[in-house]
Amino acid sequence: MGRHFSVGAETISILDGLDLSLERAERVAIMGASGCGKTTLLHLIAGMDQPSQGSIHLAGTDLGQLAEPALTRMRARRIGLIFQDFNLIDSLTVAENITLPLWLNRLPQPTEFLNELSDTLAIQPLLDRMPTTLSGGEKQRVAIARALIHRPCLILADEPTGSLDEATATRVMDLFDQAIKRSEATLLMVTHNREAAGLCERRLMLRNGSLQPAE
Amino acid sequence: MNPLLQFSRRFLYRHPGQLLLALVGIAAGVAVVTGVALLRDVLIQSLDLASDAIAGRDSLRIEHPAGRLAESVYVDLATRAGSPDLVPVLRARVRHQGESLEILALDPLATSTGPMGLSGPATAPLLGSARGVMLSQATLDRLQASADEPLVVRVAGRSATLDIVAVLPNRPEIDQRLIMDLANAQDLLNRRGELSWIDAPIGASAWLSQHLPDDLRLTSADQRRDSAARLTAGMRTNLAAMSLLAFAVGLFVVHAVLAFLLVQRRGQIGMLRAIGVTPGQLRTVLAAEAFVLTGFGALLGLVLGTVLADGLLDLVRAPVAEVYGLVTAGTVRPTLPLYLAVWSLAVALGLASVAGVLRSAMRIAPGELSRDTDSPAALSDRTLALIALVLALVGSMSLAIERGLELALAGLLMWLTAVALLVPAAGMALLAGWQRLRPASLSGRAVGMLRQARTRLAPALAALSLALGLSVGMAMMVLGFRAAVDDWVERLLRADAYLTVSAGQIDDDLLAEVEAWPEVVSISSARQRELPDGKRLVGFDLPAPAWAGFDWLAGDSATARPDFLAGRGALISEPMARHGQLAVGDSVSFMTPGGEQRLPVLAVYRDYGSDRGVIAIDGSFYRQWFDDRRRDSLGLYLTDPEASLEQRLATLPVEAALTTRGQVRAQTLAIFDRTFRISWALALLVGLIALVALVSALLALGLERGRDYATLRALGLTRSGLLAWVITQTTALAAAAAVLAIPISFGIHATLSLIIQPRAFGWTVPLSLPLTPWLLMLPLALLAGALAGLYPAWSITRRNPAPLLRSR
Repeated sequence: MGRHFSVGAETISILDGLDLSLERAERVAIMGASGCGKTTLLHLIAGMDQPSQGSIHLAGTDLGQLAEPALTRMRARRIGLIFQDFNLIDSLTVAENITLPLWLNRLPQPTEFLNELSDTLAIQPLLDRMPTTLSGGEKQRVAIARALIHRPCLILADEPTGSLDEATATRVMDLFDQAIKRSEATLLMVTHNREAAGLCERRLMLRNGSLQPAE
Repeated sequence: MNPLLQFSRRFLYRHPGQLLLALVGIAAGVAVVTGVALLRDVLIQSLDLASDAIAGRDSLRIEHPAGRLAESVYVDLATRAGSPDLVPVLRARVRHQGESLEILALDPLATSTGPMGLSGPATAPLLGSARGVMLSQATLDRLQASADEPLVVRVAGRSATLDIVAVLPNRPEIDQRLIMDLANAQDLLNRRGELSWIDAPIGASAWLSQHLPDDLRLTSADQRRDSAARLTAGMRTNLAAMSLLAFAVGLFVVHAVLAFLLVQRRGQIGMLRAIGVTPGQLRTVLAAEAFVLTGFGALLGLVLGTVLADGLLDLVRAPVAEVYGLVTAGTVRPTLPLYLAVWSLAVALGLASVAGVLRSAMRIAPGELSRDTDSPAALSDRTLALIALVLALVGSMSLAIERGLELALAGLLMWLTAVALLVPAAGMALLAGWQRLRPASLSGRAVGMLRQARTRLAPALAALSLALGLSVGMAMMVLGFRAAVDDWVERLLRADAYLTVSAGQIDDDLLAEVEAWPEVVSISSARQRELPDGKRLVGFDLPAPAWAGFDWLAGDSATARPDFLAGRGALISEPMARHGQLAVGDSVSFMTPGGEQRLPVLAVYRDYGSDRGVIAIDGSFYRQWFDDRRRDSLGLYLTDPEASLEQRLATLPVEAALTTRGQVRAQTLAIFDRTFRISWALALLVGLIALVALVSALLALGLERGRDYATLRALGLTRSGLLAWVITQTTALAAAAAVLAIPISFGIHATLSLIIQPRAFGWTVPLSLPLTPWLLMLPLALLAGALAGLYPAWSITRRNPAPLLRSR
């Protein structure tokens, strides 16, 4: 699979001949220098961008064959996204932010699972608060809960600790580890943080547009 | 609640300033449209209200084509067997401290069937006082008069004291009117034996058609309403055009504010898209948001517009009375259908104006999380230029086609839209030029930041340029028109003084007496009457020098005068030629008591006195055909222009007044100025709405660029430095808008003068170039720009930069 961009007359290859397969419940970390295409890769897998060559399959479906509405529905149902900058909706409460994917998928509100997630991520006392009143660590834990609440088969995490200090990052990753284990979802995490990458069974390095096992 | 609706609701709740700006923008635009729509209704209603008050809404009116009716006609009809209930009426215009009023004189003993309360017992108080009048409470309040004190009015050039004998309940039909006993009014007005018309019930049509003398005419309420509509058509169309332009500027505000509401949530919308919200779901929630905002704003606009209409009514009341001879109601009468129509139009256009915003929202890519970059323009400059070119071409064709006024206005609107599309690119080019000139200065850097937010600022820049162009273009047209009227009056007034009588008419005896004064070299006279179709016919007696007063647009004195004096043709005014598509050699016809007269057109002259048109014939033929030997006024050509005639006046058997040429000129220009007060008011409103657009765009910019401003503060820019930075930006924007408004205003001025005026009123206005509006515009625009920047600057400088500098 490849992804190229045109800048004037020049074509820049961000990803070139990349080959990656993920098993169910597998946890994979991708590392690499800034600007090497890690986030681009996540966007491609999430169906938010299209590859210039090759194809991406998710649970047997070729994403390239899906029209935009179907791609959006697939993303809503099967993927959970975690961003470096949390990206919570400022005008919704924490609870509303977390349950937003359930509403999008027309799924019932699983009180038990919400409580379980909230306990695991230690956000129970925050549920009625607005995101603007939370610290960075709290925001990221809420973002993790939102990514897991609808039990997606794939979690895509883009530098989930990139905006946090070391201590908070360690605590968030511990909670993230517990939550992800309980969800049995596949995790593809882009990170610079070797400690965070250590949570994953497989660690890959993105270099020159393709993936190699990390040393 | 649906989380997406919650997302929208809470966002607006947490940003009350932006919500307020959005509501103010739409409300201001809708208020102007509503206000003018209500005014238009008042103008149409103004003619038939008097009959409504006396004999009911659908009454018939018996009139004489010459205007005045002999009272003997009423006596003759009323004493015939089977006569319906007839109401004789005498009407005259009077003034009280500058306020135009109408005396409506009735016979208390005859008004037995009036359905509106002006019948028998209700009018009885009038019988007890020779100068007694009744008026409504609203009229009394407006005159700031007291029922216990006498009311002093100016009638036919002199003062008269009236007694208020009763105050009537408020009704629009009697607003601005003084109800008086017929015989007393005839005495007061020196019009004994005269009536203005006779009202009759609608059921009397058959009886009247059998018994009415041939020289009288019977008009229905619908015909009278049509007549009022015809008379005021030009004024109403002008008002409507101005209000639509104001509304268009208001739509820019709505667009700017709603676009900003979107941009501010761009990151969040990108995130929503990333987690699976479909474009359809987004479109629904954002469209619902726009609908609620425009709907609620439009409701506010209806309320504001109704208040505004009452204020504007004061501005149109005097010119409508002076120019059209109509008395308007004291208050507007809103109706539910009108409100519904304006509200629906506002919501539909408001939603249409944000269609681009919605399209832009749909294009936000899933995962597009940045809000610190200017959103890409919906259309490229090349596409915009192409659309503008097409609009300009179609607009030019609409303006070029010699058809109705509506087509010309549509053409002007298309041109303005084309200009609005091109203004942002031109404005940014101007700012780029400034930045190149002073790249390292504070102003150069501040302007550079503006250029990064082009999409955000484009609607405000377009709104401001259009508003300035419109206001200045209007001002240039009005000043050019004023100069043309001044020239016309100066040329027209050839006599040294003009004699009018304050009561009665100028008859042959009086004329002979004035002619005998040794100071008088020669005399001109005019007698004017309104024809049934609204045109005016005037009988001129003009000595040779008076002919130099005509500004000929076709034909000339040398060829026209001999035939005119011999009754072999008529002169027509420019509006008459244009409305009737008449040229020299064509013929005009008009009804006289002796039958129809048809005369060839000898020449066409410039005339700003009547937009319905005038047919001028020689006075001797006028007197012969209409059996009317009176004159309205006399122009006196004196041996010595400075000669004093006061003593001579005192010897006349009637009360007469002399007006010098300079006084007539001053009065004419005063009426002109009063007529255009409404235009100034509307132009001001458009300007204010544009300022709202500017403030809203700058606030949007301030919030959008919060992080940049915070960085500047962090780097050491002081609060006052930041204040100067922001005000520099607003002033630069206003300056760019003002520069662009120069060609726009000239285009508007030229279109109004050369195309719209001729089609609305029938007269052409020579294109002039009054520079004062341009000279005033630039400093005013800069000042307005600086003022508009104060609040955004204050808002930006008081924000704590620290949170803005942190990651979202």
